[in-house]
Amino acid sequence: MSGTPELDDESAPSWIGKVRTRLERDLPYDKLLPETQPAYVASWIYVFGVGTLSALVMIIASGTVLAFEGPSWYHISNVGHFFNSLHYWSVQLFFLFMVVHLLGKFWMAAWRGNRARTWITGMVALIVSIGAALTGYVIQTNFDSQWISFEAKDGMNAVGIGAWFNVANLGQNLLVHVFLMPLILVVLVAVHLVLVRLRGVVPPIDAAEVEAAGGAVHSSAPSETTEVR
Amino acid sequence: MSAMTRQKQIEREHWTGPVRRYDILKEGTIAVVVVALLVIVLAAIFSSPDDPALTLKGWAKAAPDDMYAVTVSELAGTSGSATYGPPYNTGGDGQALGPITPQKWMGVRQPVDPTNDFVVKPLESQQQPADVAAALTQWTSASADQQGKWATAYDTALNDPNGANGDATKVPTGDYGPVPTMATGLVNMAASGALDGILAAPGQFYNTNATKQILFLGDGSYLDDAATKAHLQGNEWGMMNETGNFPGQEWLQPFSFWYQLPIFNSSATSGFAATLTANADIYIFLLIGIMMLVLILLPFIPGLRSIPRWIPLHKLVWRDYYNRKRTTA
Amino acid sequence: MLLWQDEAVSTASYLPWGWLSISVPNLIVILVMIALFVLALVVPFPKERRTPRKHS
Repeated sequence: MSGTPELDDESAPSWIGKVRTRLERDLPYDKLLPETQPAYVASWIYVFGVGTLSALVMIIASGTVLAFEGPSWYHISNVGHFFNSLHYWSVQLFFLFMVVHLLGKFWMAAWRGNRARTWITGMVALIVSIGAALTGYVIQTNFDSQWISFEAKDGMNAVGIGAWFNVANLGQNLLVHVFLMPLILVVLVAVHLVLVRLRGVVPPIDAAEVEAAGGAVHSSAPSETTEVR
Repeated sequence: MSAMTRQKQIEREHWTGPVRRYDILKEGTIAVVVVALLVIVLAAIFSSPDDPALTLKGWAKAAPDDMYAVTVSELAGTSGSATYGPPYNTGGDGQALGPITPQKWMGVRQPVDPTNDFVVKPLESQQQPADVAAALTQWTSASADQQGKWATAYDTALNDPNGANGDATKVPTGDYGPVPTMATGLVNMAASGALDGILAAPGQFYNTNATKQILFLGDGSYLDDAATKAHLQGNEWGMMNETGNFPGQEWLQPFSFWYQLPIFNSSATSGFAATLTANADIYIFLLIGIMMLVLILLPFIPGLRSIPRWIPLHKLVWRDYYNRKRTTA
Repeated sequence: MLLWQDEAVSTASYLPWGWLSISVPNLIVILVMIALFVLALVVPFPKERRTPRKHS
């Protein structure tokens, strides 16, 4: 328990060692869990990311209750119908907040400064969310799911997806909806959030102009000036 | 250093300029609580849509003639399901985008044989009245060729616009074999409620796959009429709409939009518009695929990525920050 | 064709603007979304009470 074990990092770089070294360098704790944000992070538009995340928390919480009781419970139970309503409105808010978040990030051109991967993971998460919602709509076991699976099958079949992903197969969609889709989405969201912390919140489009006019000054560390990732 | 180079440098580096306190954990917790309350209030006030599923019993009660005609068309191989093609059967080729035919390439992976799956097997699964039982025996002991002749003859006679025009009582006599009796038998079985539980998997205990019920129900006009009544048809933003007085899947706007364009909804029987209408799904999926790629790769697309600079809404977002320039300069 | 009495399907009000027909609830959600975006940009964000601390 005293000091670090002696290992020759040069000769035997382990995979896990490489990952740790990189994380320690690129994502130290004060960057991962900062107590401050740049002064320019001061607008209500910044709350829609965390709003989307909160809605996702509610979706998973209400969905967990629905999963425990099975897909037909909410037709016959008032409590069940209320949890179905919680799930439904969480989804409505999730997409509402996500689109406002997306609009905000677009108009801020938030992909600047090596942040394209953050944008890409966000867009992919939106597309996966649409798929997750579809699998949810076709497992409602009501008129809505009858009609939606009847309509959606043609699109899926036309591009060949329908051969494997059959929207009229209740069992398949139920499992995909409660297991696979949330898993993919949560991983994407996690990567998205880590990328945000890794790169920091994008500086204003006119940051250099403000600085030149004698406003806020960002001091470049000599080591960072030549760094291109 | 030019302003542009400096800007790029600032964007790339870890920010060391002025900061403000920001407890993301506390803010996150507040956000979860606020959203949770909002969801609870919305759920309590507005509830959620849940219109009961249609049943085959309901179809047989409300529109026995339609179900009768559909049953005949399943036997004759002229129904929507029978002529669908992959992934259900080989009754059609499916959609094509020029030489690209993924529907055909993938083959029959969700086999549905309408004649047997929708009519013969369900009838066989239960004890039938003597006439229906005799008709079934006659059908199953006949050759496929003979079955086809009976069914096609009756299907044609029943749907003759100058003859019966859908009215089974006005069909002229002919060699239809057991077809009319089988169709009546299935409609009666459905009206009793027996077909609902049997269609998906005759003779099986468990069923988790509704493909056969959905396809059979969709072959008639009952499901379609209910959807029309609820404004759920594809050409009126159907996938986006919802039953009851509720918002639907607005996030499908980019999909639904294309289905609204007259070119994908044409009544033309030949030419470009006809091709697009007949193959709307695959063309629209291609367009959607391109749109998704454009959105995903937006940071790398010249012009599009500069829009936020040309229409400077960012001046509103960061107005406090930009104002520092004036106060400090 | 009428639905069987037990299988009535309920529906929202629709605004028929030719091929741009839209349901009232969907329209409300879209308007709320636009309103949220505009408000987020326009409503002043509360100023920090404490003096900004220089990041170490």
